[in-house]
Amino acid sequence: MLLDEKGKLFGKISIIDIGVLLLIAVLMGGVYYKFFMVDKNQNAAKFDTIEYKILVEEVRQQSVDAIEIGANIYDVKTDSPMGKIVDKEVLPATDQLTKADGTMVIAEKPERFNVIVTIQVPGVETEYGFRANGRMDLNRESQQVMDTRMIILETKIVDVKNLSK
Amino acid sequence: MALIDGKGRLFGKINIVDLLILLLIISIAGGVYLIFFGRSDKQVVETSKVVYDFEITNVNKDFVDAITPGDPIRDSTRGNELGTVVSKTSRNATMLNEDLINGRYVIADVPNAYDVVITIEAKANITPANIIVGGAEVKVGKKFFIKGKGYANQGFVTKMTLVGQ
Repeated sequence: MLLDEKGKLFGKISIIDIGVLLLIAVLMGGVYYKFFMVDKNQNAAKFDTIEYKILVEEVRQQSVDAIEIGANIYDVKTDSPMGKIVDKEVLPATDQLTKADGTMVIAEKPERFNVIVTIQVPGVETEYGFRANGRMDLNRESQQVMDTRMIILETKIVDVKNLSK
Repeated sequence: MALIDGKGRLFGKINIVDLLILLLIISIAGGVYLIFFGRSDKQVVETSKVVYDFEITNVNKDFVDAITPGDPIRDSTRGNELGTVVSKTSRNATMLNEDLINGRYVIADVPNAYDVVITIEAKANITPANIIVGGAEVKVGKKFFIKGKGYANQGFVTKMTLVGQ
């Protein structure tokens, strides 16, 4: 009999134990997929060079200075390399302001800057988008933590393209 | 003796499912340890002296006066040592306000309030991705709750210098 009167498979292993085993297997598979799995065809030789731009908003001069061209970017959770800063463009920070008379203006915020940081990273382009190192999705308007050895900042991705095409 | 007996026990002693659950618990504990404690010392390339600025905003004069060169600074959350005060500078606290009549942003002084920048010196472990002081990653933009002799507050790292590099 497949299941006996005690709910044991072939009279040996409890069906609940089997369920727990399957749960563990699924959990371990999920962890492996999340942290170690990369897309197919993504060994280093097949990576393209993906260039993406991130926007750092309303930071002060100290933060601007700490964003260094040539600095490596790391994944904030795993410290895996996620590319290199190749350029930065510093702009005055601005915002919409409604004046007392009801009109709207774009006003500059003194001593605050927006920085557009250009990053290059080995990655893949698929029909679904771009993945840095085959792991991290790069989507315009999505939030990204820029983590170098000297600075950590919340940023927003504003552009992404494949330089190898 | 069979490897697994009629009751599903390994060598007749340990239930195979219990063993797997135990392994899962050990793996989770190991993962938690790596996430919270393991990253700090991994890939240490060298140790070096670092000097960093830590800014606390909008405090009163008594708070500024209490900060003294030579004070040991601790992370008040984790209790780790974050270095020693080298110097301090203070200025009037400011706020970025909206001038709705003229449609612009202005920086306004806050009466009887100060922004203080504490310069802290510490020994650090240097990895490719991080500068680690007392087990904590210290970099521009990082927020800490600090505690000195008779004072405690929160603030941000605003400048980071690796001495000798």
